[in-house]
Amino acid sequence: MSHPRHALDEIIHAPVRLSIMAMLAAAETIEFSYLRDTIEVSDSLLSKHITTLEKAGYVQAKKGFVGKRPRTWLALTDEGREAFQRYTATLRQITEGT
Amino acid sequence: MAEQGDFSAEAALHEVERARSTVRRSGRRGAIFFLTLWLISTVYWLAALLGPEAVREYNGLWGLLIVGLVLGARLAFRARVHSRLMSRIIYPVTGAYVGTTVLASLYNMFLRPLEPGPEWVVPDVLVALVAAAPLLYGAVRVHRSEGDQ
Repeated sequence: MSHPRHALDEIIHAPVRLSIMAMLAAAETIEFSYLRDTIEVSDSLLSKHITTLEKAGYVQAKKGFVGKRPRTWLALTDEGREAFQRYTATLRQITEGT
Repeated sequence: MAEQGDFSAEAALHEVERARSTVRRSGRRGAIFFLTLWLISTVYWLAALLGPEAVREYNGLWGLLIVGLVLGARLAFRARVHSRLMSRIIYPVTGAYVGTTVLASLYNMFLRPLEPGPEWVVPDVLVALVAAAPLLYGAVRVHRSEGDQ
């Protein structure tokens, strides 16, 4: 199995989870509702994928309040950041044909 | 957005770039936050040091600075995206700004005479600029990082 596609992380290589990981990789923390609105998915679908990424150790969620409103903040873990870097490096290998 | 389905490496890289660009646009708030506070702070110190006596002795001048700081803090607190750079520099920049503000206050209270002559205009302008300099530094750093990404 020498083709780089075999090295693609299957947890990340799914449309919604890739969008979540890509947005979180570009920021420190992002609020759940912002992610939902930007990726254009429902609360339940986003929660489902966040749970998958949390179980893989890639994402951590932190709950808090802004005024009286509950908010959930999401961030990549160090492991998640490394996995995403490996994933994008593999994508570049595939597209550049090296 | 499709929940399932195979997609190419090109499409995946395109999505990564699109996501980065979306987050970068949201991060502009950080630069606006620092720039607004820089403007308020500079206007405050110029008015406090060089303004006419009525302005200098007007207690509401402090109010301008405090309202600006509170509005800025609210803006930052309510942001739904926190950029990596902003999270890294906000405390050092705030700390440096508190330091330069204390130094400017000490200059105003102890070094500057009550009836300063024209020779004090240059030091006054310098103090006003130095007092707000950390905020300008923060704004430039955030703005530059957006361009680099």
